[in-house]
Amino acid sequence: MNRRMRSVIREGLLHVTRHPLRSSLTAFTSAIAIAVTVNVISLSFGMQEDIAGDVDLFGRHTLDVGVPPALAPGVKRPSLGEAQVERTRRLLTGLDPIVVPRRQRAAPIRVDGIDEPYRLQVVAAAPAYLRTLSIPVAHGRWLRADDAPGSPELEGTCCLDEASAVRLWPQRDPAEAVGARLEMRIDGVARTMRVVGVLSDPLRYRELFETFDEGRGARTLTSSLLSFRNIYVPAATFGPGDYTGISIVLPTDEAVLEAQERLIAVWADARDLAALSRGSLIVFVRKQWMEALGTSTMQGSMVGNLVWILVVLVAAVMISTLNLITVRERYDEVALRRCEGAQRRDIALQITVEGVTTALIGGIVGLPIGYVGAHVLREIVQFPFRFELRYAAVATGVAILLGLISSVIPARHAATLQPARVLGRRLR
Amino acid sequence: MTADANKAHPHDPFLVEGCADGAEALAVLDGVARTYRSGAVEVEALKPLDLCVRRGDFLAVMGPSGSGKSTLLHVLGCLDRPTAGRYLLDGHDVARLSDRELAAVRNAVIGFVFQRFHLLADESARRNVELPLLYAGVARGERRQRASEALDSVGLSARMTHRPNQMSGGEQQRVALARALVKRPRLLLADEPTGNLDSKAGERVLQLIEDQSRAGTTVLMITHDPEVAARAEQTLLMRDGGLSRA
Amino acid sequence: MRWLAVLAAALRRLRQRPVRTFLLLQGTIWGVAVAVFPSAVIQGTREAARQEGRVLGADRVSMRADTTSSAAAVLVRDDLRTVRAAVREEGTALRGLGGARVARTVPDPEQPGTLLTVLECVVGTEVARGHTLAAGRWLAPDDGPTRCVVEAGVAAWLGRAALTPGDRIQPAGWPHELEVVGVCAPRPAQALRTNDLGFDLEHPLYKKVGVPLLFAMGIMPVPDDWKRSERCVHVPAEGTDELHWIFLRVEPALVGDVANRIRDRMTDADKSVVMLYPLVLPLVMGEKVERFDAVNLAMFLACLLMGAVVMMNLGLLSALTRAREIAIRRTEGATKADIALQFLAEGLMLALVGAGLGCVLGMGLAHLRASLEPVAGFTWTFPVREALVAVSVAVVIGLLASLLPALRAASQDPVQGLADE
Repeated sequence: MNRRMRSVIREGLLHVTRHPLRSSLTAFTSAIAIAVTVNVISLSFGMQEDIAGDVDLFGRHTLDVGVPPALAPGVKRPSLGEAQVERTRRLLTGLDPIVVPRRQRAAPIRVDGIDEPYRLQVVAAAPAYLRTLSIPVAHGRWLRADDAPGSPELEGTCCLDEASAVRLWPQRDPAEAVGARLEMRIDGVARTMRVVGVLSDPLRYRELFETFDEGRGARTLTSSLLSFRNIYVPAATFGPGDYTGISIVLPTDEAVLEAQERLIAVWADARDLAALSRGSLIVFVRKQWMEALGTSTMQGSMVGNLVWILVVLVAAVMISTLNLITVRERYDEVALRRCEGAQRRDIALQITVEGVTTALIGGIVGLPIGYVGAHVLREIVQFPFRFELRYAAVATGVAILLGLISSVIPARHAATLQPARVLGRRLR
Repeated sequence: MTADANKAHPHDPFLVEGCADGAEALAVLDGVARTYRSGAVEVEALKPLDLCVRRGDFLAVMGPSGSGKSTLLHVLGCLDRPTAGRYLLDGHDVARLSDRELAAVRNAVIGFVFQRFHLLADESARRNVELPLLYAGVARGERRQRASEALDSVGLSARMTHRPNQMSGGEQQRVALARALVKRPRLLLADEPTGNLDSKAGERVLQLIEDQSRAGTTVLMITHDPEVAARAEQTLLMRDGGLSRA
Repeated sequence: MRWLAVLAAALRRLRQRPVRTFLLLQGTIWGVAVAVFPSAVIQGTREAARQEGRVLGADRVSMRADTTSSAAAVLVRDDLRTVRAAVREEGTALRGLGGARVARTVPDPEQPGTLLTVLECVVGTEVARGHTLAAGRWLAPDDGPTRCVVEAGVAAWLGRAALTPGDRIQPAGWPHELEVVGVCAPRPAQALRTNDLGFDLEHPLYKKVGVPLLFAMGIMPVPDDWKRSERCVHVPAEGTDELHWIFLRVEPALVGDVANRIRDRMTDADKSVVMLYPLVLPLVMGEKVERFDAVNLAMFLACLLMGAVVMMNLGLLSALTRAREIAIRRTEGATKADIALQFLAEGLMLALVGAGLGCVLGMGLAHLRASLEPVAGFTWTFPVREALVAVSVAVVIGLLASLLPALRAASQDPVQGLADE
């Protein structure tokens, strides 16, 4: 960059500082646009990242064999018992799988002092079930092989998801749930259980989840798995009967895909809609499920993003108009510069520098506004607005882009001005 | 000076004593001066001067540029307040009038015609002529009626809906004149009314002004053209902010 | 009278400079549009749900056994009692309750793909499913297994012109003849396109977007075309206790709560059930959706503020560039107040025109949004209250933004304005 260009750029910057009121007005407009941008980015990208991250929690290397949630009337429920577990193990030899069958049902849970029971999903499985989840134990310990199953005679042991603990004892810290007792009614019989551990809550947008999916029931295949609001009990707590599903953990991604192929040779792929109502067991890979969910969510939030793009476009038009107006006001100055030797591109560069600078200043001012706005909105809307530094970087990029776009027309206008026409009039 | 310019007039316009007492005095300047500040410099646009304008007078004021002619007109037209002296318009001391009252005076009593026409560029001829009636609170129907009549009297009925940029200079000035006349003013102030016009258009405008004077309107006209000044009854000279006889 | 002229003149000014006006108005237009269109969609949908609830199935809850649970899962007649008790718990009115077992599906060899379905029903199921009576009567408790009620399309399927009470039919494979005691009226086309979850199955976006989304959420489409076929024969449920489906109808706004209550009671009775009811409509009917008003408000204010800033800046510049015009007006008798009011009137006009256009655009956006949603009953209407509020705020902001320019214009010296430029 030669000295001439540097001087021109400096002229632009000087102009911005010499007209604080005018520059602030333009910067203000840019600030608003950036604040909105930050909010929208933090919302949609934040959620995308959360979902992507949740794959790990949900079970990166886990696939499930289960009963299809919908059967044609009259079609019998396929059996999922020891025979199927054994078959699974045989099908997956050589892949080093951990095979954990589980039984699952909703049951009313009572705690001391509350009359109305809560209904939660109760999951009965071997201790290895935790391997399928990748959630750390936040307080206490996980179930062990020698833990007592809950029975009418004997007090049993159980673990809770943090959300379950919060629901059962809303006034207390989840950590205090360890050691507490609750009463579970299954097959008409009440059993007392003692809580030995609490799992941490992985759902970052639980409020949103609970708003839009009451999720207490098994309307969906995944809601009971995804809700992370369960009670875990030893396998023997439920009597013999069909399993709800078999969860399989494998060491690598390739092993998961290989396992999927072997299993759908025998049973149905959950993605195959036609196979579902035939009454065969289904196989699904959790990671694929989460990815599908992520894609759908992104498509859904496109509409929301549209409003954001709108606001930024409106801002671009507004700033453009502003810059154009102020350029018109500076005809005399521009004419003088041209008489003193400035070329068209010098004028254009100066105007562009001014536009980008004000937009950038506005953008930087808009970042904290956006941050505060995101917090406020999160409180009101209970929506997962997040703020990360890299969103700030994107927003700043948008600000610069805004400044460039909105300077195009004003710069052109100023550059094509003919000095003689202006100077012919008597200067005020 | 032509003989016409020195037509004898019964009264001496510079004789202010006793002028204000008579019922015939319309505008009396008594020691009026106007000084501007331009940056750090003080400019004396009008030196203290006396002037007595009676009803029905037709005065021309000539002088070089920068002599203060326009300032004199502005003071007479209540557009500018003198920094010294007294200005009595129709017996009222202008200094005592509030801004709003001055506006009302301009609205009802004084008609202006400028060298550069000063029409509203975005409005039609009729709306331009209606302008003072608008501020007078006249109802729409009556406004239209009077504007039509005024345009008719200057011969521009055909241009009623045209905009200034669709008319020639002469026509624009006649619209300006119609605007001045629609209020039936007592005092008509014209600043170089033919300055931007060719001789034919200028002649037409001058005739209209003469008609007004004959009808009894008091006219004060600024011009640099002696032939134009000759159309008035009396010519005064202005130089360096001071008035003198021609 | 004068003020009308001033306003009219302001409007004329706007019309004379369409491009400049259009650019200036962007903030107001989009701000008001964004403020107004969500309310338009929400109010329209609520109205539709209220008025057309029966047609849209917005008032219907369907229940079936959860096949995935380890709890023994078969619905029986006794469960109807549990359902009734659960609904009445909070004093909710029950508009219909019934249950059915799909006894037989008969394909037509000549029309492949169409089926006749025989349902063994509990009394009251026809009403619970949303039917109205065209002729005859509904099934009564003392009707034996030889009586039936037919839906509107059964006659055509059987090759007859029409069925009337008293006619006798025998669906293929059914052990004995049936006497028709009632004929259902044909249901509106919309009802035949709407599934239990409230989705419009024939909406172009349902297949593209709706199905994958539901699938990703783990909601499996259930094979239940018979519900919308108009080719069901209702026979009394005798000798069989099992029910495949339980149907009930309540007020649309309460559908979600009722479904949860029923699910809880059934869980207490050791049965895991799946509740199917419109997903989106109750959401719109409820209050949760109003939380997003905050977001709308933020966008609205953002756009309006941007517009106000530009209006103010332009106004300030205008006050200078129109010095000559101002001087002429002052010369002709306008007071400072007149000039100030004129500029305020121009700001007011700008805001009004912008807000008006914003309402129009908002309705357009609402229409677009409503047509994109594959949910039955998703529609829009003009939200009078919100529009008035939005327009008022826009006008106030517009006036405030014109205040400074008005003051500056009023303080212009007319003498300066008349001087050579």
